[in-house]
Amino acid sequence: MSPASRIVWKGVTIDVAAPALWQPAIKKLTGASESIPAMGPLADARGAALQPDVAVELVDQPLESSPVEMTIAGRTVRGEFLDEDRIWKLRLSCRGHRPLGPLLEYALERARMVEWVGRGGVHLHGCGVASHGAARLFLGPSGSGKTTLARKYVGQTILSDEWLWLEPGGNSVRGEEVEGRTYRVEAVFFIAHGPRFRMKTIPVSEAVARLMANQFSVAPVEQLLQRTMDSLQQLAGRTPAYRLETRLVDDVRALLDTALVKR
Amino acid sequence: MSSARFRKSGRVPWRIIEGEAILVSTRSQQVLYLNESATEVWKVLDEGKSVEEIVDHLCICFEIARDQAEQDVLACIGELRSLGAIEDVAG
Repeated sequence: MSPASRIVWKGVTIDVAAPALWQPAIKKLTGASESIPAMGPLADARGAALQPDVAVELVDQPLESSPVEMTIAGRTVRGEFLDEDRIWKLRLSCRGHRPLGPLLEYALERARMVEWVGRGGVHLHGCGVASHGAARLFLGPSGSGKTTLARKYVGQTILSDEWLWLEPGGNSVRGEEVEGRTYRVEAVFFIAHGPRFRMKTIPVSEAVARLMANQFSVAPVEQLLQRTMDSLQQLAGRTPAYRLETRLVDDVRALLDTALVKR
Repeated sequence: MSSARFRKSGRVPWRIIEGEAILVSTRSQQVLYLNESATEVWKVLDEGKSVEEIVDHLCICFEIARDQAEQDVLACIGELRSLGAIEDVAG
């Protein structure tokens, strides 16, 4: 068994087990000094079990036919997800991987995202703008104009121009900042280029399908995808969703505000 | 094809919302959004019906011509197969 460290990474408690030669890199990236003998629960002074939120295991062996495949620092990384005792564990093959820092950071980020999705949170690919506690979300493929549209909201808070963190249950959303403020989702727009401004309300079923297509699935695991669909169905059930076609040269913000008032 | 039978593979998370099915491939992350008639096909797949019987069922449910129903069912089954959502029933 590889030596393990328990660290807190952006608010998430993660047990990281890795071959011994990785320990300096773990310490450098996270400042972790505490080593624990093995993955799994620790005990507090009273003997009660202390669980990490999620665990990462870096193994010096190839993982065949694994569901996770990413290119990091020019190398292909394979991995798999295991749900052990209600703690998600991400196992990544690190055989021959150099440099260590980027892979380690990727592993910790991925673990943080898995923990979030495991609790019913969702990562949405899109932009969000917020004011007075409410947020409008703009979702769509790269190049559809999300960022351009969000930047027309001068004076409002731009939550993110890439990734939004939808809270478990789909009630509210925040940007990438760990301690960032959360905002109630006021409306969701699926945007695309079009010859003129056109906005159409879409049914809940279509909104859920489109939201699913715009979420980042951290693990191809049915249990996590079902949880993601639960949260997105809750969001779509109480939040109006629109298909929005626009020429970005238009004064989209004014057109959008007018259209929303009419509804 | 008309006597072929299929069943849900159990490998694709799905749900029906407001009468329309949403399927998500764990393998490709592709999302399939089925309209009302395709959702009906999805619903009856586990009843052991042949493709021909599903076409008959659609003709009755939606009062559409047989040619149209057959075209819709075959297209739907093709999409479901490519997503890995259904598999052939042997025999």
